[in-house]
Amino acid sequence: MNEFEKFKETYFAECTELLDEAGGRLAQLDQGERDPANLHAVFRAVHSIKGGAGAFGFDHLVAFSHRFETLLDLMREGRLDASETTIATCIRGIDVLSDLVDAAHYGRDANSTSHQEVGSVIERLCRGCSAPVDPDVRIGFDSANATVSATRRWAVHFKPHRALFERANEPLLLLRELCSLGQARVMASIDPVPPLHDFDVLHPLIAWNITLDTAAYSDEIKAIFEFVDGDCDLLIEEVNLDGALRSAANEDGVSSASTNPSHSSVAPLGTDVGEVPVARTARTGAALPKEASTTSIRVDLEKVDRVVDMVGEIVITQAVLAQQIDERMRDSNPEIMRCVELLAQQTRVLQDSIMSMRAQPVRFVFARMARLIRELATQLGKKARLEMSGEATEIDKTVIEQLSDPLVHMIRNSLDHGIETPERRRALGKPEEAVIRLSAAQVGGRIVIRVADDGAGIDRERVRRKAIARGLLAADSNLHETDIDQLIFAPGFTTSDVVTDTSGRGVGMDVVRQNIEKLGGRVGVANEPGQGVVMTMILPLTLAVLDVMLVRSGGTPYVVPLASVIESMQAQGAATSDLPSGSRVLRVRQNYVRLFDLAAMFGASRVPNGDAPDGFIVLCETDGGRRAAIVVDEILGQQQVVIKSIEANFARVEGIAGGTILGDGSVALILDVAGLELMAERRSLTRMAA
Amino acid sequence: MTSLRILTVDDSRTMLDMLRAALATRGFTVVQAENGREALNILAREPVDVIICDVNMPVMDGYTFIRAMRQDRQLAGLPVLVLTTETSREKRDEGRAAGATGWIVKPFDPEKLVSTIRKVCLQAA
Repeated sequence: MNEFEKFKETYFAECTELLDEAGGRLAQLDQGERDPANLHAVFRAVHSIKGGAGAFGFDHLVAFSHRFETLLDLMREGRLDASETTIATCIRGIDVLSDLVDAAHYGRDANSTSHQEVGSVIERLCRGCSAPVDPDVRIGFDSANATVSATRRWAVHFKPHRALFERANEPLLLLRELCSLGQARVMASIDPVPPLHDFDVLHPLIAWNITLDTAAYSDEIKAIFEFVDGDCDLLIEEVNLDGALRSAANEDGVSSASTNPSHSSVAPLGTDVGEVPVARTARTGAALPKEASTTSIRVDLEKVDRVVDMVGEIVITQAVLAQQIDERMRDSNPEIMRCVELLAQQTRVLQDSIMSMRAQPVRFVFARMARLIRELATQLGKKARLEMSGEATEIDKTVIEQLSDPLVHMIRNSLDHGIETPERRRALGKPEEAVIRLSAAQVGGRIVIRVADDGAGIDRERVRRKAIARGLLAADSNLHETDIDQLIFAPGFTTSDVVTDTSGRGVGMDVVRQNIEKLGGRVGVANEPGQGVVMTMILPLTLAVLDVMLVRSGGTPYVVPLASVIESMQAQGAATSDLPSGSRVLRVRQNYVRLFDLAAMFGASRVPNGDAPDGFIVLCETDGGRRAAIVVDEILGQQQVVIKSIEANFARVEGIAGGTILGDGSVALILDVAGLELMAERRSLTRMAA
Repeated sequence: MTSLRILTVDDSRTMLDMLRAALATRGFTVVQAENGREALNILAREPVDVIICDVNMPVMDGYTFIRAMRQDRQLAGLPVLVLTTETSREKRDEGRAAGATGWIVKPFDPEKLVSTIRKVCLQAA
């Protein structure tokens, strides 16, 4: 890849982030959070996309983002009301923009219909408010942009240091740029200027005080002084138009008491605080809203993952160390003990911090759902709105990426099958507008995500009939109500008689369940006919750590992912029987489940233990919903392990999903239950052939 | 009006060509150098209004070049913009320590590039 291509890739990566950010901000505006910072962020995102597009010559992208930017600018200046329709247009604008970005990225054609449609709506909105502002309100120093409506008054104090001149910066240019933001009155304080023969060109003497009436925000003003940050005294404060000073911090909705020293380090323009006593609050406070963007760095995910891996190793080493220290050492050397405990504590903190680096708030995914609900509801002639809670909950990036599809499926199902038409809802005494609630919460080491609606619930009779028709259920079976609800997760199940655009492609909830299980999670449904459905997803916080059941067979420890374990029992007295093919089955209630003897499969011999001479049986469920029973000698307990790839370090091993290192330093293999099944299948085939 | 002369310094041909493409079409005269040493040679021969300069270059890197310029009374007042990537905050700071006037973030947008030049160059404004 040449340098130019690399820039392009960076640009597209940035676009994705910017579009996500803009989408999230618009969702907040749509929810009624009319914080100007939201609009401002959307504007910035669109502006940045336009800038890059220009550099690479993506003309469609430039043209559209330019129009879009104009609209956002009008909204920002308050000349166009940020009404529901305007915001809806902006949301569609982001869709078009993201389509155009994709088109540019992959060299395909964009959807020109929606592009033109949204483009002309934007145009119309812009034309509707092109009333110029009275040009006679100019004050003092010449202002290039006199038509900008002034909504804020800023008091700027600027005093260059010697370093500013040494780096060849020019105060005049900065002042001119400042004036271009609105109407400015610039006062120079020239008292300290000495007679000409004492004059030193590089020695700064003049300070300026500028009063600026503008629509610009403090960060736009600060951006002007970007290159001279640290090379001057700079103080930017908002003044009420009637003259009273107002701290910039309050303007941005941040508490003015933010004199936290850790924040003052990110204040971009802090220099000589002592000299101007009112400076501190305003500087630090105003810097806060920008903090997230200015202090973040882009790091290759691979690098973070290497650290995650290494921290995993440290956790293990620490556990080994703790185990090596026995009672005697505890008493004889308390200092070592203290260190080991401290190490344990620090390792935990380290692990938490590195995990949080990979974590992202679910807000990004949730926000996308708002748009889906709006569009689907309109399409289906229904009314529904989104309510979110816990959207700040953070989850591992990989999990977040996998979360979108299941959510889309669930919401589609909800709108298509669950939520009634407005007329029907009215007849039932429900509010016409249905509510879909998305919530996220961290419970213990897991994340619980719920999608709840207040629709009609799952029609059990219909589900039963369908399941029988599809051969998923025997006609005479007598299933419990809640078990019927579970049938929606059965492979190939769909209740839709007609395949619609919305749902009912027959690859519904079973795919959702498989995908969630692949992430080490579970999904469940609670159905209240007439009241609605709650779908619950339980996901691991991270993919690097796995909850497992530790077992022993043939003297070797193995771990079984806890998510796939259904139950465990003593083998003695269990209803097992031998089949003519040589395999054994276990009878669990009405069903027969194939039995695997781990020791036999991996060529070891069983080591009976006193308590359970026949060992234990662990009943597992595989990805596809099939069950398998594994015979082991001992069940040692539950724990969390760090997953290590066997494939990357050695080669693929059948029946084994990976490895892990236990607290005592020994290696345990992670069983792949589906793989075991395949392995046994193949063996019995070979046996039959022989 | 004579057009503004911009000296671009980068060891990557692609980057030099991109800069030329962006600047020449906007009426600037572009002079090119592939490292700091070459740039100093050019500055000794001909007048330049602004310098845009990469950091990592063979023979003489960007910082050494800027420091050498700032030592020279003839060149000390020339604005120099360093080319950096968004993430390299330290490089920016290092550039400033060497005496850079400002910076340009790669990948650059031609409009932004021009406005940044106007921000540091009186003749351009």
